[in-house]
Amino acid sequence: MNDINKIVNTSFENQRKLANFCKTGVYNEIAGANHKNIRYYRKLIYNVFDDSLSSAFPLTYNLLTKTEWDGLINLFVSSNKCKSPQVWYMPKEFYLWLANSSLPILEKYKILPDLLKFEWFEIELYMKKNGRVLKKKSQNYILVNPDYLIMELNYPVHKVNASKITQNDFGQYFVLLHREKTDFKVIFTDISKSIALIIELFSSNQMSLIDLYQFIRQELGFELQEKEKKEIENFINWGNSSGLFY
Amino acid sequence: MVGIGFRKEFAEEMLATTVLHPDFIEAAPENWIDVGGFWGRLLDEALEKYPLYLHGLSLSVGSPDKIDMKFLRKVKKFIKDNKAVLYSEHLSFSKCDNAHLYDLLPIPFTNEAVKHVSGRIREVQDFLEQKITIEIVSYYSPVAAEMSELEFINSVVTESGCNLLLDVNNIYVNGFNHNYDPYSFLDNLLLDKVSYIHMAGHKKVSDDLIIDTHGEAIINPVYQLFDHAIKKLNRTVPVLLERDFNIPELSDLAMEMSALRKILSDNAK
Repeated sequence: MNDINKIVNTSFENQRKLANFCKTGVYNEIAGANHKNIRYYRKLIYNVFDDSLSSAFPLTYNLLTKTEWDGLINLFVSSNKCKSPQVWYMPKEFYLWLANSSLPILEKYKILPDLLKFEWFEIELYMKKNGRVLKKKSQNYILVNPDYLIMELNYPVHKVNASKITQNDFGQYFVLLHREKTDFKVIFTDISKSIALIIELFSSNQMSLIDLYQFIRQELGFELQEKEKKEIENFINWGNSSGLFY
Repeated sequence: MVGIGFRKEFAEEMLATTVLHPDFIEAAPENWIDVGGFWGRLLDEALEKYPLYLHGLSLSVGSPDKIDMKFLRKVKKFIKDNKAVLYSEHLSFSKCDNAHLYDLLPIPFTNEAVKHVSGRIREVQDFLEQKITIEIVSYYSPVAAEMSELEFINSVVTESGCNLLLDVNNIYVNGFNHNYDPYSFLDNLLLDKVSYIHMAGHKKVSDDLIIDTHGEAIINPVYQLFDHAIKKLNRTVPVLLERDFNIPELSDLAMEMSALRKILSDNAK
């Protein structure tokens, strides 16, 4: 290591001390620094995280006690390394950080990962870059609005108040989110696993309803009953009118 | 020319009314890259009316970490796609050890930091194939300083070949917080490098500390310092009114913009 790097590293070390103090509150002496004023940086940074996350996750914020919320924010700020330069992605990092952790709060609130996912997916879809609208190869083909997401949940956070959900509600839920083309509102729709699969099929292949029935018969090996076909047709009609399909 | 920071809080109202008539808008690329839907359409509408100036938040040129080239590539594309007139960033760091902190922290005023930061600004300029404009930030404490703030800024500007963003409010705030004369400070900057000016309000939180909040109206002493800066510059430089928090009625912002325009026109006579 040459002399320049040694001194650069001294500057880096002081920057690390400042950054570490802002994250953890643990202060290691920085030459010439005004400790009283440096505390404002920690406060300002905490406020950025707190404001962003409470705005992104209002349902989670209301579910937790103030102490629980503050504890989570403090732990996130101090222990997570936020990767995105875009602060509006930070809530996604919070959701994944908490969902993949083994923090005791997940025992008390088993619905937390689903609740955070539900709240984040709405933001992600609302904000996302407009998807490319493909040109239909045939008028009979059913194409899916590219601005959609399918969310799989274990708890019905999309239709029941979070505080009312119990272990008895545990199961498998599928929720379709799609963004309207004109006013860009995000629409939530409770769907079955079969409908979720059908949407994915239409999304990845240009096909008509007849092609879909043929695919189910040939590739999945079963024949749909008339009642099931009627349900699918009703869903497609709804999808056409709601902007899910075009 | 007087522009306004394009904030989501008032973007829709601004575009739907004639209360504000900025000469340009400024946006943070971080808030708009990869954004579509409602906000994407609103930005497109704004760009049909106004030229775009970009003011970055997270490039962190003062960081110990390497430049995030993936992000810089997106910035370059965003500049090109939206025909941005100028791209500015802060003389500070907001990322350390691969962790974004989403605020502007002061760089140590050291010779080695000058070399490090200047090299990184050159790296950014080479990649973007254009000069960038670097803002003098407000700060609340020095960090292991070996030289004055003025020497540090002038050295970085000289060694990197970048332009300077003169944030007049920040100079006022720093003069107060660190007990120096903002007029003398401003006079001794490399004013020929100034390509952009920011004006904003601040909040005094104690007898010896002002925080640069962008959440209040501009105060008279900052207007006076601005008037002095315009006299010293003696040329046309675009001026931006920043208001990020505690957003008032658009008519209040219009009055602030008029006050800035009046100072510019008085000095042009």
